[in-house]
Amino acid sequence: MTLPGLIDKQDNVEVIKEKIGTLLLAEVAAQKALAPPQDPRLWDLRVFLDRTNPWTEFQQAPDQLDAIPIVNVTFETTSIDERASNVVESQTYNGTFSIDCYGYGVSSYAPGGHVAGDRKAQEESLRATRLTRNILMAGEYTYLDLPDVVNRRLVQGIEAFTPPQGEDSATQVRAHRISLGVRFRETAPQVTGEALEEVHVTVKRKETGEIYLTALYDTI
Amino acid sequence: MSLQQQAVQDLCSIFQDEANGPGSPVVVTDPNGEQRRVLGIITDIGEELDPDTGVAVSGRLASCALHIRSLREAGLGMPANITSEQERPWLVEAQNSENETVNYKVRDTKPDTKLGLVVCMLEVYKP
Repeated sequence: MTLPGLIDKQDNVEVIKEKIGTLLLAEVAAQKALAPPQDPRLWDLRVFLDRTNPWTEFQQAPDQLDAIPIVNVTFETTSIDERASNVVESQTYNGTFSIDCYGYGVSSYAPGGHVAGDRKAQEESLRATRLTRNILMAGEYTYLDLPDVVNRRLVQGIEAFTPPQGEDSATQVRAHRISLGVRFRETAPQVTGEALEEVHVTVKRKETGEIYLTALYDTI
Repeated sequence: MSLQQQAVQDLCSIFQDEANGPGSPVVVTDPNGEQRRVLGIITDIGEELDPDTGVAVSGRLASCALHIRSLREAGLGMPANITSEQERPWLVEAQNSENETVNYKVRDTKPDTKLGLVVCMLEVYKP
């Protein structure tokens, strides 16, 4: 015997990952609208899902203000909370999503010296991290706009990625990873009961206050 | 003549042969703004990097090999990484295969004083 219905609904882990991307995009657009008279590009982010190599976007060394920081959202892991789960209807998971924030810096002329590309890349990466963390931890998004799915979300930590010594890349890119912990519910196809027989029952109360049932049905 | 002296002499010949050698003209600028045209062997290629994310990514590696004697004769010192942002860095300007000018900053150097060669690791620079 097999499951009767087609499984075509996204799991909540997929929904949450896409929702993180959608929230970031929507809020970045709002921030850019609020920015003037400051340069809106300083509040801009490019958001990707599940890309392995987003920083090749910087490989052709664009000018600094044209190099918008990149955010890449990926799903990392889940683990079940068995005390909050049941084996039939729904299970509660603690999931971790990685949000990598890439910043680019280009060495450039400055009066009396120069701008160091590695420092600038770190600054840009932290700026993207700051914007992302503030959006995801805003009170507005306590449940990531998914109140029926998400119980809790918290930034569990931020880790810096730095190319190891000896990796002399001609373009300076730095990244920080935000680990976002999300507690959420998952469900699965359920058995739909089949009506075998209808039995009509009447509920009565005796003058003594006792409750009893009466029913009329065929017996074998 | 020792083998080492022969190698130094050969390197001189390689770097002075503009017509048939592997070098191409580059403009080297020191932190004082002194610019000199010398021959250098430039590379600017894509290569795999490990950024410590668990996934290898495509990076861009650029370098320029310069002849130490040619630099001295041109009145320049030894290129080096300039860390302080209050100073101008060493710069290298070169032409790519499309004859477009590409500007680089010297981010690290690997001198070989035995042979008289210094390899400058480069990063892109916007003048």
